[in-house]
Amino acid sequence: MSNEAAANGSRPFGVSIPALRDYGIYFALLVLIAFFSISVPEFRTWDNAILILLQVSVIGVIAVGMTFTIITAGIDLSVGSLLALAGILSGQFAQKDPTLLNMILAFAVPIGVGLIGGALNGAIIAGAGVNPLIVTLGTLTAYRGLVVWYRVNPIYDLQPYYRIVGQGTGFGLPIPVLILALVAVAAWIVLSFTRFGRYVYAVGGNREAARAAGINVEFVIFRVYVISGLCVGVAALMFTSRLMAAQAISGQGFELQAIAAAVVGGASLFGGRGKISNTIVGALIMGVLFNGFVMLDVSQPIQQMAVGIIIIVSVWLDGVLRNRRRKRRLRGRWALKGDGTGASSVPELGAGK
Amino acid sequence: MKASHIATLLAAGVVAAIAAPGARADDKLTIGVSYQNLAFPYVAALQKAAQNACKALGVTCIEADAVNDTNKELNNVESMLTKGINCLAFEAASLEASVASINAANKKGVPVVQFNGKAGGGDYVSFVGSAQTDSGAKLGQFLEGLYKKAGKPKLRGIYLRGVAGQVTDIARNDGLKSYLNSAGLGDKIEFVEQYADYDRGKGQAVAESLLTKDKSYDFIVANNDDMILGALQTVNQFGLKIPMAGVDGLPEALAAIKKGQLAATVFQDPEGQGGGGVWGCYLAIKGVKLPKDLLIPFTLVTPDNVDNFVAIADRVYVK
Repeated sequence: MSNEAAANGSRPFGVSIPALRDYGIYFALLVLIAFFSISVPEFRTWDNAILILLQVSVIGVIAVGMTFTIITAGIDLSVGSLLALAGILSGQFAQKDPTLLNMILAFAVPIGVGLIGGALNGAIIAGAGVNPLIVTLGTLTAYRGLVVWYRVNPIYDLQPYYRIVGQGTGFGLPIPVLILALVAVAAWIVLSFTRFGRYVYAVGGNREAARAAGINVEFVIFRVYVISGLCVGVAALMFTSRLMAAQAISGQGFELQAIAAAVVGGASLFGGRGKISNTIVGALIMGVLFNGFVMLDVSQPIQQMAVGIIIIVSVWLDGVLRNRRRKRRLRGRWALKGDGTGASSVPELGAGK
Repeated sequence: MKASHIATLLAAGVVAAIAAPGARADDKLTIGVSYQNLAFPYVAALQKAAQNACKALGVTCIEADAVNDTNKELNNVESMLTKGINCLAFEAASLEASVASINAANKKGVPVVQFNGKAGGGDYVSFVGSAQTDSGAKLGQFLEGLYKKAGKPKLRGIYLRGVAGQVTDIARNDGLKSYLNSAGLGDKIEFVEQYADYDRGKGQAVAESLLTKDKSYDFIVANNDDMILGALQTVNQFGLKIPMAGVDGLPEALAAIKKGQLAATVFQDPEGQGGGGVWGCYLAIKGVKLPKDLLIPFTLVTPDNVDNFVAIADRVYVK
């Protein structure tokens, strides 16, 4: 039920067995990088590598939050609308005179809006027990309506200091890339090494068993949506600062990009399975495709077809590999435990490491 | 196409208003205004202009937003017709599916004046809008000027397209290319084209990838201002200096022209279109014979004439 890191190892050779499945996606990324590197000389430059990381940073951060909800067999469709709302409210303060208070608010307000929007999603889903797909489809519409009603025109005359989050650099890397790394590592630690992380997998793997084991399922679900909202708030700040403009129409379709990153990364929409590292690789695959295709001068309709096919093939391949592995396991070739497939029930709860 | 048409319209309006001094007092006119999608700043500007016209004419206006959904559009129009309107000012959300709304008004005998977006059928009194090919031609005019100044045998640039297959995008592309062809520049100006969905973030991302590959482009043009403003962030961040132009005349683009960051935009007049829809309705009710198509020209905005447009933008773009 838990993930790789929490799994303990009666494994031969002391290495992770699910190599094919887990590394299949890394392999796919390498193939794409190799293909574009050969086709476009400018693709294989350091500048372009950094650019790809920069271009996936916003969706990457959202996809990290999305991974939490997907592991619990949930989904958060409201991310794009919430991003626009958080961005506009951030922009309102970023536009004002750069007093200390305004500066703090410009950076803190989007985070707060993300948290509130996520908490609202979580409260309805966990509290009222309504299907997350329906709830967040509702808030996708409602948050968008709210932000358009609040302010339809873009805010563009943002103060220069605001640029730092989206366009600044640190340690030779763009700040958004550093933020993505920070968010991803934090999420990885939470999912892998904390009791809450194991609860998240348990709730997604088998909700009733999790409940029987004494987990406060509703509270876990609530917190998962708060985390998603928090990630959206951070992403809103990055996005608005990168563009130096806040728009009510921002973020349309981001939910699908984030879901695609997580799913290509092997997260199961049925819950119980998903890894932050794989989600990031999923986002990178999307980013490499976009960047490489644009450099190759491939037109957008063809890009869309390719991305669609890659989503389907990767999920299909993932299923095939997993099935094969399950069969092998049934044959008792390997003693696997805690592979994060969600097939097992809820052992080792509270066995805090 | 001709500015004189608008002058005719306005003059006729003034005459009608003077000729019927009791009009405001004796009958309370109601005009229904249906918008395509008020989430777009440009449509919101149309709305502001329409509302200003309603106020100026002293008529009651009932408004409805189709939110780009032709089903909702039809429901809106039907409920306006039930409430009782004297004329429908209609911005079609779609070429084909919006015909149903016009038919509904036709059935009730309510005159229809279309503005900005025009449906492909149904009876209407007049259309107040712009020929989108003209906006593309104005971009072509900008590139022609650039070519003459550059003194190079060939120019190569980025062309950010809108949504693939969308009517306005196709029209602007056609207008641009045919202008260049007729100016004899078809083979002298070369484009690298990418769709960026009219979206600022995508305009930025596409520009990043293209400019990382090659920084030697002579220009960047886009089928709307949002995309060119996104690309502008990239150009500034990369520390480049490339002539850039968009279409719309958003206040932000005008400000960027004043600052010397953008070279040009093509001004599309929300006041003429949104206000014209309501004015057209008013005149139609008063029995003034209107031309079938009242085309409002696009104008190329450059640093030389930008100030004239800032005033209009300030009036209609909601702050």
